[in-house]
Amino acid sequence: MAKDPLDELIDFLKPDSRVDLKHISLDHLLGLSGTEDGINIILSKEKILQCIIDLTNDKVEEISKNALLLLINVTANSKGVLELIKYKPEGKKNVVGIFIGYVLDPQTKNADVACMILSNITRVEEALKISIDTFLPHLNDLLNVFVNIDYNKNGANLNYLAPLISNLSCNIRVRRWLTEENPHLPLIKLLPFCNYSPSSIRRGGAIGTLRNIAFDTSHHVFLLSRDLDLLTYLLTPLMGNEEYADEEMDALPIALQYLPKEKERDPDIDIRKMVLETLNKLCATKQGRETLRNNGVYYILREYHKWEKDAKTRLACENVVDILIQKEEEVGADDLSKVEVPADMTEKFQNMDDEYVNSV
Amino acid sequence: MESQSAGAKASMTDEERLALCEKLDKELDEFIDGLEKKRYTDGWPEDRWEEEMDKHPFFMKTAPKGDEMSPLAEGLAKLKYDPDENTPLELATNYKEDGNFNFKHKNYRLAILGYTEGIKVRSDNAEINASLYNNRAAAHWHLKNYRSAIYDSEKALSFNPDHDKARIRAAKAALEVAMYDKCINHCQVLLQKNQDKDITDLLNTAKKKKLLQDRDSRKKERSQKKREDEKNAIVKAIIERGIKISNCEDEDDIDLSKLEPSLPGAQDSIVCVENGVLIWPVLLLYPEYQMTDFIKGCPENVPLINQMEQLFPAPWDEENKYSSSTINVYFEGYDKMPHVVNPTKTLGDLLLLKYYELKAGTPAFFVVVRGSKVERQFLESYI
Repeated sequence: MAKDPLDELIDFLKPDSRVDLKHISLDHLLGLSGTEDGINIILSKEKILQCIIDLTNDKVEEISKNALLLLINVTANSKGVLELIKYKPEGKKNVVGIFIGYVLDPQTKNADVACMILSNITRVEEALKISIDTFLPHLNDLLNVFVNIDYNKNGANLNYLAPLISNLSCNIRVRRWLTEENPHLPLIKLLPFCNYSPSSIRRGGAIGTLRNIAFDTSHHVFLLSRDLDLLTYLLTPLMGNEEYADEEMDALPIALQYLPKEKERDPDIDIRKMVLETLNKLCATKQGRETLRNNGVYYILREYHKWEKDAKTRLACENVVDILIQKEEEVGADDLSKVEVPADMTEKFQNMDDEYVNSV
Repeated sequence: MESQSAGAKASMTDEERLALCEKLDKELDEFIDGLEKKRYTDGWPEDRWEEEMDKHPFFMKTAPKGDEMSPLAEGLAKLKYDPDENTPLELATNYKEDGNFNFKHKNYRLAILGYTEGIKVRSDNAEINASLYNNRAAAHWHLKNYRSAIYDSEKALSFNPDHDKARIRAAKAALEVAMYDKCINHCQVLLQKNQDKDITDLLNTAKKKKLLQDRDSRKKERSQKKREDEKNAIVKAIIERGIKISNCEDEDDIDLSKLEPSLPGAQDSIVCVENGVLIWPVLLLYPEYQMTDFIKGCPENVPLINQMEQLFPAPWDEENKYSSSTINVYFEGYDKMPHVVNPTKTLGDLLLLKYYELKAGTPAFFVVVRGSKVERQFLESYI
């Protein structure tokens, strides 16, 4: 019986194999990993994945790089993530530690790719649960590395740490770390990146984190505290250089008053959507609604609505405006997130939304 | 539409001028007399000045006996400050002690003198220099010389970057003079070493004030830009219409200063734009009665006669001769000749007439009764 070609491949992928063999095999697998079928083939033999993981540490740069690229494709697939997370390298609980190691290494060129893999892994809920304990001790380090723009000396920008943190914030323990740690609140280090113009990845990750935290109403008191000044960072992507009447301008957070002529709204529509979702979540509590009203959020959304062309996003904007326009008595519930919506109503509302979006 | 009559200005006679001067002098005297009288107490009392002079270390002729003297006085007696008798470090230290003595007795200016002398010694010892600058900074702080306090505190830090007291003072003084970035930087350095609540509060205060300061400068910039834009819009509109402006060589020469009305009190009626329509201040002159009417804002798209109709009958028009059907309207062209105009035309059109040149940003027209003697005299005056 002919030897299974995959087994042959495994031989070539061993760490002590000839360099050119490793190279060609990886290339081949990389090509395979472009399709769903290809990934299934790769996943069919445990040993392949293990070899690839080992090769990420290969001395030859090209090989380690390709091994990591392969893993990005594998982890883009949720089945791939689950398989990957099962693997226990020597002495460790899972592979996450290896990748964290690459990220924290200031000399490696592969740090960005490692970030992307971690980001992919944490996007899958099950995998996040399994790996969370590995992440927790490194949270401060990862955040510090993220904040230090020049951390990596070999060209990696580490932008994908932002979506990683955003994914991690789905976990309650990470949220607690973000909102409670002493002496320096981690969230404060993250906030300025909501407006970091050089990278939409960083902006998206920062705002995504805020949105995830806002889902949990228990954090609202913290989020809306005066000293945090959340709204300054959250609203900036929605503001351009539009004019406001004097009384309206005075209501806005100070840093947002009289923005210069050059100010533009965030060009990335997904980011704008996330901001609106976050505002929507903040409207769940009475305190949130009142804080948003008192800070002139209505005026900002009014101007934004005139500018936004995408129908779905305008709908999201209107949803927030609808809540803000009402007086507190009209809202009818202190904490909207706890209101139960009957199933048939949910469907009805969904249909109304679709109709509106299609008509505009 | 508002209009006001400007009376003829009477000139002063010499007597009137003299009288006015005297009056002003008298008022000044009365004002000074009215000020609170305070004696100059800082100096030596007049009758005992020689006595006091003998007591001052610089001027005493004999060494004092018994009571305490400031170290400088003592030193003079003991040649404490003789550079030949002391190393620079000793010298600087002695001056520092002198400064400290005065500081303790709240004589901050004298203290500063002492510390300054110590600094001038330029000892090699970093510690004494840091100390001298720091202490001088403290003296300045008490005198509310905040900028000097900052300068001296930072000089102290240059000799000893870990001098926390100097840094705290620099931060606090910076807040007083609105140098918020400096305050924030110093606070952050301090907080790195040690999480002090007061410093954190200071930092937050500085940050808040900086936010306000930034906002205010953005606000100012925006309103300045707005005014700029408005100005440019006006000039552009004028150029577009092709109105001739006096004292303007070509289009680039036109700016708002050349369009300022020269009439007293008319500066705020300078030409402006509303919805694309230029609004001009207009001067009407009536040679017969030496009267004038000033119209604050006349839109260019309105016939001139409409504006004038609102002014008639005029209060000075004793014989009720002036009405829209009886008058002729003239302007003086750049050829120095009078030209009659059709007042049913809009102001905008009139400004574009041949020979018309705008002076002092104010269109001016002469109004006389048609066929009257006044009209003849008016026209003849130009020949």
